Amino acid sequence: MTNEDDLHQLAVAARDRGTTGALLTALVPLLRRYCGRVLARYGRRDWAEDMVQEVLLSVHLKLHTFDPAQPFEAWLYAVAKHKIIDAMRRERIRAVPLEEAAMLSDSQDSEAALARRDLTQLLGRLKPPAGDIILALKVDGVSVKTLAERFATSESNIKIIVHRGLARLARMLNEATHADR
Amino acid sequence: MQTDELIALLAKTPRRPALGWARALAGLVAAIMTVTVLVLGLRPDIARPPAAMAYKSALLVAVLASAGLMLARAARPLAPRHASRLPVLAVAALIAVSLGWEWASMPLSSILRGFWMPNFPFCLGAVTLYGTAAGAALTALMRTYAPADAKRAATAIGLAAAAAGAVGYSIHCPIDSPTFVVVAYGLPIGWITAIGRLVLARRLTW
Repeated sequence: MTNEDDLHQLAVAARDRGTTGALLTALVPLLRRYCGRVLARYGRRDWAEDMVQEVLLSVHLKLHTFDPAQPFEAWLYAVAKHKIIDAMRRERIRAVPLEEAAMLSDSQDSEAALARRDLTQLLGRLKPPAGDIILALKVDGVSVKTLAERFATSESNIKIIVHRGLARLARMLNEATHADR
Repeated sequence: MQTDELIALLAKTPRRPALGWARALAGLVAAIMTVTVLVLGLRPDIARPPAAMAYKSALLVAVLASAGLMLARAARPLAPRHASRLPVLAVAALIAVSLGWEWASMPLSSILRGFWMPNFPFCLGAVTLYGTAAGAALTALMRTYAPADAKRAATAIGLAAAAAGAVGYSIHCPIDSPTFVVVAYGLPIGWITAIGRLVLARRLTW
């Protein structure tokens, strides 16, 4: 695996000589991991390779903005983050990432409550079809795209329904936990 | 296109060195000064400039240098660790000392005289015009960089463009009163910076 020092040297050499082939090749696995991980939060893992290419292009065109006095990876991730946010804006994706929304119900209190309650029963208390969608997405692993087709709505709407449903679920679990105390 | 093919293509495409901000600003000032000399002419006392002109030039160049540093910082996706506030403090101190000196030593009628002359609206218009043209050039250059914060970059462009316009125009304007300089040059610098922040940020996508 290429470490920060190796990448830094490659970047400085590419910046000074104007040829980026070796640097870009070394960046591919790093960017695939990063883009895949970030985009998966938005249900857009399928964009990862396109995003890797966009970031590689930006690295080639904007390498003169890299300051050798700073860590290269920090610069690279700043570029990658910018490109991902830009792509999200283009696609008007404004929904909160599912993992972040799910974190609402990931607290210790919630886990304890979950252990005592039937998840299906709790989901059944959500406004339909939120319970079915969350169950399919989180338990059965159905993709957002498939769910959008199944429920004849947009992917953004599915994410909003899931986000609101999880938030409601978290509130129900918290109320239940406090009631038990 | 596959990623490997893209890399092969980019590897064969040599990168062009970007124009640095210091050179760009120096070039802009030279261009504006040339236009000023050809269209407006130099101030009448340019052969024997008063000491106060040195003050005016120092203040405007200090504003331009501060704006240049701001531009260079804003043009990167990763901000430098240490951003010195020294240039901004130096400009503020220069303004405070010069205004303090003038208001303590000069009569009010003398301080305000420049504002009743045609130079005042002319200064406002000329610096605005020059600043607008310089802003377009700096926006084009900023698009070859990678600003992390488009609004900050747009603000820096507005400030630097207006400051370049002010420096370029200052060789025509014969009034060096600190109050006049702060108001007649400060107003267009202020509004070009504000408008730049509002208008240019959308044009700085990369």
